[in-house]
Amino acid sequence: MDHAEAERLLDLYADAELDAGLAGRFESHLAECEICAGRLSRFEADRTVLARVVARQPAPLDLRAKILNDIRAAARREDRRRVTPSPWMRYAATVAATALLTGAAMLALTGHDGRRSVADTVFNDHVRALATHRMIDLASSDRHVVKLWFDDRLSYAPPVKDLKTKGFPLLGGRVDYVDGRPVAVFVYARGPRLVSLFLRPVRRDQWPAHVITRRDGLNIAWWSNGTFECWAVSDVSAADLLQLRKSFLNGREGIRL
Amino acid sequence: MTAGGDAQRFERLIVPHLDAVHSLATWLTGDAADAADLAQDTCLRAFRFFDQVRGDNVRPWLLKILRNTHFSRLKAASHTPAFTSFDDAAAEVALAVAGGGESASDPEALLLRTEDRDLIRRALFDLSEDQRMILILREAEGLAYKDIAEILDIPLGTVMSRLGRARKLLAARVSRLRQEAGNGSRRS
Repeated sequence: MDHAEAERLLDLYADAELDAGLAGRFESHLAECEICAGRLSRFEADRTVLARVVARQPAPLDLRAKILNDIRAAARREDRRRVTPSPWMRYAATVAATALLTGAAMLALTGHDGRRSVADTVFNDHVRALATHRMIDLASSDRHVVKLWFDDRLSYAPPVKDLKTKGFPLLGGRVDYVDGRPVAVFVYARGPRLVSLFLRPVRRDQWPAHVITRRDGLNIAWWSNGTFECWAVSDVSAADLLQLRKSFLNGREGIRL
Repeated sequence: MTAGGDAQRFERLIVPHLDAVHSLATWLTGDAADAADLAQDTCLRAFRFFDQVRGDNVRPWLLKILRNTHFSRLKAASHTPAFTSFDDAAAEVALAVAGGGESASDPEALLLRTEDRDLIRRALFDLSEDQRMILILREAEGLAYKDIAEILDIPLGTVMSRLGRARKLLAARVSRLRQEAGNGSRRS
Protein backbone atom coordinates (compact mmCIF):
# COMPACT_ATOMS: atom_id res chain seq x y z
CA MET A 1 0.00 0.00 0.00
CA ASP A 2 1.45 3.37 -0.93
CA HIS A 3 1.30 6.44 1.27
CA ALA A 4 -1.46 8.19 -0.69
CA GLU A 5 -3.75 5.21 -0.43
CA ALA A 6 -3.02 4.83 3.29
CA GLU A 7 -3.93 8.49 3.82
CA ARG A 8 -7.24 7.94 2.08
CA LEU A 9 -8.00 4.89 4.18
CA LEU A 10 -6.95 6.25 7.56
CA ASP A 11 -10.43 7.27 8.73
CA LEU A 12 -11.90 3.99 7.54
CA TYR A 13 -9.21 2.05 9.37
CA ALA A 14 -9.79 4.04 12.56
CA ASP A 15 -13.54 3.45 12.24
CA ALA A 16 -12.91 -0.30 11.83
CA GLU A 17 -14.60 -0.23 8.43
CA LEU A 18 -11.79 -1.86 6.39
CA ASP A 19 -12.02 -5.55 5.60
CA ALA A 20 -9.35 -7.77 7.13
CA GLY A 21 -7.18 -7.81 3.97
CA LEU A 22 -7.05 -4.04 3.55
CA ALA A 23 -6.64 -3.50 7.29
CA GLY A 24 -3.64 -5.83 7.25
CA ARG A 25 -2.03 -3.94 4.36
CA PHE A 26 -2.77 -0.63 6.07
CA GLU A 27 -1.06 -1.89 9.23
CA SER A 28 2.02 -2.94 7.26
CA HIS A 29 2.26 0.59 5.89
CA LEU A 30 1.65 2.03 9.34
CA ALA A 31 4.62 0.12 10.76
CA GLU A 32 6.91 1.87 8.25
CA CYS A 33 5.35 5.33 8.01
CA GLU A 34 5.75 7.78 10.88
CA ILE A 35 3.46 10.32 9.25
CA CYS A 36 0.53 7.91 9.09
CA ALA A 37 1.26 6.51 12.56
CA GLY A 38 1.27 10.05 13.97
CA ARG A 39 -1.96 10.95 12.18
CA LEU A 40 -3.68 7.84 13.42
CA SER A 41 -2.70 8.48 17.00
CA ARG A 42 -3.88 12.11 16.77
CA PHE A 43 -7.10 10.94 15.17
CA GLU A 44 -7.65 8.59 18.05
CA ALA A 45 -6.79 11.23 20.64
CA ASP A 46 -9.29 13.63 19.02
CA ARG A 47 -11.88 10.92 18.95
CA THR A 48 -11.42 10.20 22.65
CA VAL A 49 -12.01 13.86 23.48
CA LEU A 50 -15.02 14.11 21.18
CA ALA A 51 -16.50 10.86 22.47
CA ARG A 52 -16.40 12.26 26.00
CA VAL A 53 -18.19 15.43 24.97
CA VAL A 54 -20.94 13.60 23.11
CA ALA A 55 -21.25 10.67 25.52
CA ARG A 56 -24.85 9.69 26.22
CA GLN A 57 -26.49 11.08 29.30
CA PRO A 58 -29.11 8.97 31.04
CA ALA A 59 -32.65 9.91 29.99
CA PRO A 60 -34.51 11.63 32.86
CA LEU A 61 -36.70 9.27 34.88
CA ASP A 62 -39.84 11.32 34.31
CA LEU A 63 -39.29 11.09 30.55
CA ARG A 64 -38.98 7.32 30.83
CA ALA A 65 -42.20 7.19 32.80
CA LYS A 66 -43.98 9.44 30.26
CA ILE A 67 -42.84 7.27 27.37
CA LEU A 68 -43.97 4.07 29.08
CA ASN A 69 -47.29 5.74 29.89
CA ASP A 70 -47.76 6.78 26.26
CA ILE A 71 -47.14 3.27 25.08
CA ARG A 72 -49.55 1.76 27.57
CA ALA A 73 -52.20 4.30 26.63
CA ALA A 74 -51.67 3.53 22.95
CA ALA A 75 -51.88 -0.18 23.70
CA ARG A 76 -55.15 0.38 25.60
CA ARG A 77 -56.58 2.26 22.65
CA GLU A 78 -55.52 -0.71 20.50
CA ASP A 79 -57.19 -3.03 22.98
CA ARG A 80 -60.48 -1.17 22.83
CA ARG A 81 -60.50 -1.58 19.10
CA ARG A 82 -60.26 -5.34 19.51
CA VAL A 83 -63.60 -6.78 20.58
CA THR A 84 -62.57 -10.03 22.23
CA PRO A 85 -61.61 -9.60 25.88
CA SER A 86 -58.65 -11.68 26.96
CA PRO A 87 -59.42 -14.83 29.00
CA TRP A 88 -58.26 -13.32 32.28
CA MET A 89 -60.47 -10.28 31.80
CA ARG A 90 -63.52 -12.46 31.27
CA TYR A 91 -62.52 -14.48 34.28
CA ALA A 92 -61.91 -11.38 36.36
CA ALA A 93 -65.34 -10.02 35.49
CA THR A 94 -66.99 -13.24 36.65
CA VAL A 95 -65.08 -13.26 39.92
CA ALA A 96 -65.85 -9.61 40.53
CA ALA A 97 -69.54 -10.06 39.89
CA THR A 98 -69.64 -13.02 42.29
CA ALA A 99 -67.73 -11.15 44.96
CA LEU A 100 -69.99 -8.11 44.71
CA LEU A 101 -73.18 -10.19 44.79
CA THR A 102 -72.06 -12.05 47.89
CA GLY A 103 -71.97 -8.75 49.75
CA ALA A 104 -69.47 -7.44 52.21
CA ALA A 105 -69.05 -9.26 55.50
CA MET A 106 -66.51 -7.92 57.96
CA LEU A 107 -63.16 -9.53 58.11
CA ALA A 108 -62.75 -11.29 61.45
CA LEU A 109 -59.42 -9.97 62.60
CA THR A 110 -60.39 -9.04 66.13
CA GLY A 111 -58.34 -6.69 68.20
CA HIS A 112 -56.54 -4.97 65.36
CA ASP A 113 -58.85 -2.31 64.06
CA GLY A 114 -56.15 -0.63 61.98
CA ARG A 115 -55.35 -3.82 60.25
CA ARG A 116 -58.99 -4.67 59.81
CA SER A 117 -59.65 -1.42 58.08
CA VAL A 118 -56.62 -2.00 55.84
CA ALA A 119 -57.94 -5.47 55.09
CA ASP A 120 -61.26 -3.84 54.12
CA THR A 121 -59.48 -1.42 51.88
CA VAL A 122 -57.33 -3.96 50.08
CA PHE A 123 -60.29 -6.29 49.68
CA ASN A 124 -62.41 -3.51 48.21
CA ASP A 125 -59.57 -2.27 45.99
CA HIS A 126 -59.02 -5.76 44.63
CA VAL A 127 -62.70 -6.32 43.91
CA ARG A 128 -63.15 -2.90 42.38
CA ALA A 129 -60.08 -3.36 40.21
CA LEU A 130 -61.44 -6.69 38.97
CA ALA A 131 -64.88 -5.26 38.32
CA THR A 132 -63.63 -2.24 36.41
CA HIS A 133 -60.93 -4.13 34.49
CA ARG A 134 -58.34 -1.95 36.13
CA MET A 135 -56.27 -4.69 37.72
CA ILE A 136 -53.19 -3.64 35.80
CA ASP A 137 -52.19 -0.10 34.93
CA LEU A 138 -48.72 -1.11 33.88
CA ALA A 139 -48.56 -4.45 32.10
CA SER A 140 -45.01 -5.68 32.33
CA SER A 141 -43.09 -8.59 33.78
CA ASP A 142 -39.85 -6.66 33.44
CA ARG A 143 -38.73 -5.84 36.96
CA HIS A 144 -36.90 -2.71 35.83
CA VAL A 145 -39.85 -1.35 33.92
CA VAL A 146 -42.16 -1.99 36.86
CA LYS A 147 -39.69 -0.47 39.29
CA LEU A 148 -39.25 2.68 37.21
CA TRP A 149 -42.98 3.04 36.91
CA PHE A 150 -43.52 2.78 40.66
CA ASP A 151 -40.54 5.01 41.45
CA ASP A 152 -42.34 7.79 39.69
CA ARG A 153 -45.59 7.35 41.58
CA LEU A 154 -44.65 6.47 45.12
CA SER A 155 -42.66 7.99 47.92
CA TYR A 156 -40.88 4.67 48.52
CA ALA A 157 -39.15 2.16 46.28
CA PRO A 158 -40.84 -1.23 46.51
CA PRO A 159 -38.74 -4.33 45.74
CA VAL A 160 -40.09 -5.84 42.52
CA LYS A 161 -40.05 -9.58 41.93
CA ASP A 162 -41.15 -11.73 39.05
CA LEU A 163 -41.98 -15.00 40.79
CA LYS A 164 -42.50 -16.94 37.60
CA THR A 165 -40.19 -19.73 38.73
CA LYS A 166 -42.29 -20.04 41.91
CA GLY A 167 -45.48 -20.32 39.90
CA PHE A 168 -46.56 -16.66 40.23
CA PRO A 169 -45.65 -14.84 37.02
CA LEU A 170 -45.72 -11.06 37.42
CA LEU A 171 -48.32 -9.48 35.12
CA GLY A 172 -47.80 -5.87 36.10
CA GLY A 173 -48.87 -3.37 38.68
CA ARG A 174 -51.15 -0.56 39.67
CA VAL A 175 -51.28 2.08 42.36
CA ASP A 176 -54.15 2.03 44.84
CA TYR A 177 -54.87 4.18 47.88
CA VAL A 178 -54.64 2.72 51.37
CA ASP A 179 -55.00 5.03 54.36
CA GLY A 180 -55.07 7.92 51.92
CA ARG A 181 -51.63 7.14 50.54
CA PRO A 182 -50.61 5.63 47.21
CA VAL A 183 -49.48 2.04 47.61
CA ALA A 184 -47.77 -0.33 45.17
CA VAL A 185 -49.92 -3.22 44.01
CA PHE A 186 -48.27 -6.05 42.13
CA VAL A 187 -50.50 -8.33 40.13
CA TYR A 188 -49.45 -11.96 39.88
CA ALA A 189 -51.09 -14.80 38.03
CA ARG A 190 -51.65 -18.19 39.57
CA GLY A 191 -52.94 -20.28 36.70
CA PRO A 192 -56.09 -18.46 35.60
CA ARG A 193 -56.43 -16.63 38.95
CA LEU A 194 -55.06 -13.24 39.87
CA VAL A 195 -53.42 -12.04 43.06
CA SER A 196 -53.22 -8.40 44.13
CA LEU A 197 -50.19 -7.94 46.33
CA PHE A 198 -50.22 -4.60 48.17
CA LEU A 199 -46.86 -3.53 49.50
CA ARG A 200 -45.98 -0.55 51.67
CA PRO A 201 -43.40 0.40 54.27
CA VAL A 202 -44.37 -1.23 57.57
CA ARG A 203 -46.26 0.94 60.06
CA ARG A 204 -46.11 -1.18 63.18
CA ASP A 205 -44.16 -4.25 64.01
CA GLN A 206 -45.99 -5.75 66.97
CA TRP A 207 -48.30 -7.74 64.74
CA PRO A 208 -47.84 -11.48 64.32
CA ALA A 209 -45.61 -12.73 61.52
CA HIS A 210 -48.52 -13.41 59.22
CA VAL A 211 -52.28 -13.64 59.17
CA ILE A 212 -54.57 -15.30 56.69
CA THR A 213 -58.28 -14.81 56.59
CA ARG A 214 -61.13 -15.44 54.25
CA ARG A 215 -63.85 -13.17 53.06
CA ASP A 216 -66.54 -13.57 50.42
CA GLY A 217 -64.67 -16.30 48.64
CA LEU A 218 -61.37 -14.45 48.66
CA ASN A 219 -58.37 -15.15 50.83
CA ILE A 220 -56.54 -12.23 52.36
CA ALA A 221 -53.05 -12.63 53.76
CA TRP A 222 -50.89 -10.18 55.66
CA TRP A 223 -47.22 -10.52 56.44
CA SER A 224 -44.25 -8.33 57.09
CA ASN A 225 -40.49 -8.55 57.13
CA GLY A 226 -40.06 -5.59 59.46
CA THR A 227 -39.39 -3.16 56.59
CA PHE A 228 -42.38 -3.69 54.36
CA GLU A 229 -45.79 -5.15 54.95
CA CYS A 230 -47.69 -7.06 52.31
CA TRP A 231 -51.37 -7.68 51.84
CA ALA A 232 -52.28 -10.29 49.26
CA VAL A 233 -55.87 -10.66 48.08
CA SER A 234 -57.00 -13.40 45.75
CA ASP A 235 -59.34 -16.29 45.13
CA VAL A 236 -56.37 -18.67 45.13
CA SER A 237 -56.15 -21.06 48.09
CA ALA A 238 -54.71 -20.04 51.45
CA ALA A 239 -51.89 -22.51 50.81
CA ASP A 240 -51.05 -20.65 47.60
CA LEU A 241 -50.94 -17.33 49.44
CA LEU A 242 -48.59 -18.85 52.01
CA GLN A 243 -46.46 -20.05 49.12
CA LEU A 244 -46.44 -16.51 47.72
CA ARG A 245 -45.45 -15.18 51.13
CA LYS A 246 -42.50 -17.58 51.23
CA SER A 247 -41.35 -16.36 47.81
CA PHE A 248 -41.98 -12.67 48.30
CA LEU A 249 -40.42 -10.68 51.08
CA ASN A 250 -39.92 -13.54 53.49
CA GLY A 251 -36.87 -12.25 55.26
CA ARG A 252 -34.15 -9.97 54.00
CA GLU A 253 -35.63 -8.40 50.88
CA GLY A 254 -36.37 -4.74 51.13
CA ILE A 255 -33.75 -4.04 53.76
CA ARG A 256 -31.70 -2.33 51.04
CA LEU A 257 -33.91 0.70 51.39
CA MET B 1 -51.28 -11.62 20.97
CA THR B 2 -53.07 -8.91 22.93
CA ALA B 3 -52.09 -5.28 22.65
CA GLY B 4 -51.06 -5.44 26.31
CA GLY B 5 -48.61 -8.16 25.39
CA ASP B 6 -47.38 -6.03 22.50
CA ALA B 7 -46.82 -3.12 24.83
CA GLN B 8 -44.88 -5.33 27.18
CA ARG B 9 -42.69 -6.73 24.44
CA PHE B 10 -42.17 -3.26 22.99
CA GLU B 11 -41.17 -1.82 26.36
CA ARG B 12 -38.62 -4.55 26.86
CA LEU B 13 -37.22 -3.79 23.43
CA ILE B 14 -36.91 -0.02 23.71
CA VAL B 15 -36.10 0.59 27.37
CA PRO B 16 -32.40 -0.26 26.85
CA HIS B 17 -32.22 2.39 24.11
CA LEU B 18 -34.00 5.30 25.76
CA ASP B 19 -30.69 6.93 26.73
CA ALA B 20 -29.54 6.80 23.10
CA VAL B 21 -32.85 8.21 21.87
CA HIS B 22 -32.86 11.00 24.42
CA SER B 23 -29.21 11.84 23.76
CA LEU B 24 -29.58 12.14 19.99
CA ALA B 25 -32.79 14.13 20.48
CA THR B 26 -30.87 16.54 22.70
CA TRP B 27 -28.13 17.01 20.11
CA LEU B 28 -30.67 17.53 17.35
CA THR B 29 -32.87 20.04 19.13
CA GLY B 30 -30.40 21.64 21.54
CA ASP B 31 -33.20 22.10 24.05
CA ALA B 32 -34.21 19.85 26.96
CA ALA B 33 -37.99 20.26 26.56
CA ASP B 34 -37.89 19.82 22.77
CA ALA B 35 -35.65 16.81 23.19
CA ALA B 36 -38.09 15.20 25.62
CA ASP B 37 -41.00 15.87 23.23
CA LEU B 38 -39.06 14.44 20.33
CA ALA B 39 -38.09 11.34 22.31
CA GLN B 40 -41.73 10.81 23.33
CA ASP B 41 -43.01 11.23 19.77
CA THR B 42 -40.32 8.91 18.51
CA CYS B 43 -41.21 6.09 20.89
CA LEU B 44 -44.92 6.41 20.23
CA ARG B 45 -44.35 6.38 16.50
CA ALA B 46 -42.02 3.41 16.90
CA PHE B 47 -44.77 1.57 18.78
CA ARG B 48 -47.07 2.09 15.80
CA PHE B 49 -44.49 0.61 13.43
CA PHE B 50 -43.49 -2.02 15.91
CA ASP B 51 -44.09 -4.92 13.51
CA GLN B 52 -41.28 -3.68 11.25
CA VAL B 53 -38.46 -4.11 13.71
CA ARG B 54 -36.01 -6.96 13.72
CA GLY B 55 -34.94 -7.97 17.19
CA ASP B 56 -31.23 -7.48 16.52
CA ASN B 57 -31.47 -4.02 15.07
CA VAL B 58 -33.55 -2.02 17.48
CA ARG B 59 -31.28 0.96 18.10
CA PRO B 60 -30.64 1.98 14.46
CA TRP B 61 -34.35 1.44 13.77
CA LEU B 62 -35.34 3.72 16.67
CA LEU B 63 -32.78 6.36 15.72
CA LYS B 64 -34.04 6.36 12.15
CA ILE B 65 -37.56 6.94 13.39
CA LEU B 66 -36.20 9.71 15.59
CA ARG B 67 -34.55 11.41 12.62
CA ASN B 68 -37.68 11.14 10.49
CA THR B 69 -39.88 12.34 13.34
CA HIS B 70 -37.61 15.31 13.89
CA PHE B 71 -37.70 16.31 10.23
CA SER B 72 -41.44 15.90 9.89
CA ARG B 73 -41.92 18.05 13.00
CA LEU B 74 -39.70 20.71 11.48
CA LYS B 75 -41.66 20.55 8.25
CA ALA B 76 -44.95 20.74 10.09
CA ALA B 77 -43.73 23.77 12.04
CA SER B 78 -43.11 25.77 8.88
CA HIS B 79 -44.30 25.69 5.29
CA THR B 80 -40.97 26.78 3.96
CA PRO B 81 -38.56 23.90 4.15
CA ALA B 82 -36.98 24.29 7.58
CA PHE B 83 -34.08 22.12 6.59
CA THR B 84 -32.53 21.42 3.29
CA SER B 85 -30.99 18.11 2.60
CA PHE B 86 -27.31 18.35 3.36
CA ASP B 87 -25.43 19.82 0.48
CA ASP B 88 -22.01 18.23 0.37
CA ALA B 89 -20.65 20.87 -1.99
CA ALA B 90 -21.76 23.62 0.38
CA ALA B 91 -19.81 21.86 3.10
CA GLU B 92 -16.63 22.19 1.04
CA VAL B 93 -17.25 25.91 0.82
CA ALA B 94 -17.94 26.12 4.54
CA LEU B 95 -14.77 24.19 5.19
CA ALA B 96 -12.71 26.54 3.03
CA VAL B 97 -14.28 29.61 4.68
CA ALA B 98 -13.61 28.18 8.11
CA GLY B 99 -9.99 27.78 7.10
CA GLY B 100 -10.03 24.17 8.11
CA GLY B 101 -9.25 22.51 4.80
CA GLU B 102 -6.50 19.96 4.47
CA SER B 103 -4.00 22.66 3.58
CA ALA B 104 -4.80 24.90 6.53
CA SER B 105 -4.76 22.35 9.30
CA ASP B 106 -1.52 21.71 11.10
CA PRO B 107 -1.01 17.97 10.83
CA GLU B 108 1.22 17.94 13.90
CA ALA B 109 -1.25 19.59 16.26
CA LEU B 110 -3.89 17.82 18.26
CA LEU B 111 -7.12 19.33 17.06
CA LEU B 112 -9.34 18.68 20.05
CA ARG B 113 -8.29 19.05 23.66
CA THR B 114 -10.08 17.98 26.80
CA GLU B 115 -10.18 21.53 28.13
CA ASP B 116 -12.04 22.54 24.96
CA ARG B 117 -15.12 20.64 26.10
CA ASP B 118 -17.42 23.67 25.97
CA LEU B 119 -15.88 24.94 22.73
CA ILE B 120 -16.46 21.54 21.16
CA ARG B 121 -20.07 21.59 22.27
CA ARG B 122 -20.56 25.05 20.75
CA ALA B 123 -18.75 24.03 17.58
CA LEU B 124 -21.02 21.01 17.21
CA PHE B 125 -24.04 23.30 17.30
CA ASP B 126 -22.42 25.51 14.66
CA LEU B 127 -22.35 22.55 12.30
CA SER B 128 -25.36 21.69 10.18
CA GLU B 129 -27.81 19.25 11.69
CA ASP B 130 -26.70 16.52 9.28
CA GLN B 131 -23.06 16.96 10.19
CA ARG B 132 -23.79 17.02 13.89
CA MET B 133 -26.00 13.97 13.61
CA ILE B 134 -23.44 11.88 11.73
CA LEU B 135 -20.77 12.69 14.33
CA ILE B 136 -23.09 11.68 17.18
CA LEU B 137 -24.10 8.46 15.45
CA ARG B 138 -20.45 7.56 14.92
CA GLU B 139 -18.78 8.85 18.11
CA ALA B 140 -21.51 8.61 20.75
CA GLU B 141 -23.34 5.58 19.40
CA GLY B 142 -20.34 3.90 17.78
CA LEU B 143 -22.51 2.77 14.88
CA ALA B 144 -21.06 1.11 11.79
CA TYR B 145 -21.23 2.98 8.49
CA LYS B 146 -23.93 0.64 7.18
CA ASP B 147 -26.19 1.44 10.15
CA ILE B 148 -25.52 5.16 9.74
CA ALA B 149 -26.35 4.87 6.02
CA GLU B 150 -29.62 3.19 6.94
CA ILE B 151 -30.53 5.80 9.57
CA LEU B 152 -29.70 8.79 7.37
CA ASP B 153 -31.01 7.12 4.24
CA ILE B 154 -27.85 7.85 2.24
CA PRO B 155 -25.37 5.61 0.36
CA LEU B 156 -22.30 4.25 2.15
CA GLY B 157 -19.99 6.46 0.09
CA THR B 158 -21.85 9.53 1.27
CA VAL B 159 -21.47 8.37 4.89
CA MET B 160 -17.69 8.28 4.41
CA SER B 161 -17.41 11.65 2.74
CA ARG B 162 -19.88 13.39 5.03
CA LEU B 163 -18.23 12.01 8.14
CA GLY B 164 -14.78 13.06 6.90
CA ARG B 165 -15.99 16.59 6.20
CA ALA B 166 -17.88 16.86 9.46
CA ARG B 167 -14.73 15.88 11.38
CA LYS B 168 -12.60 18.44 9.57
CA LEU B 169 -15.19 21.16 9.89
CA LEU B 170 -15.58 20.48 13.60
CA ALA B 171 -11.82 20.70 14.14
CA ALA B 172 -11.67 23.93 12.11
CA ARG B 173 -14.58 25.39 14.02
CA VAL B 174 -13.03 24.48 17.37
CA SER B 175 -9.72 26.03 16.48
CA ARG B 176 -11.52 29.18 15.26
CA LEU B 177 -13.46 29.40 18.54
CA ARG B 178 -10.28 28.78 20.48
CA GLN B 179 -8.56 31.64 18.63
CA GLU B 180 -11.49 33.94 19.31
CA ALA B 181 -11.43 33.00 22.96
CA GLY B 182 -7.67 33.65 23.01
CA ASN B 183 -8.05 37.08 21.35
CA GLY B 184 -10.90 37.91 23.69
CA SER B 185 -8.87 37.17 26.78
CA ARG B 186 -5.90 39.19 25.48
CA ARG B 187 -8.12 42.15 24.81
CA SER B 188 -9.66 42.13 28.25
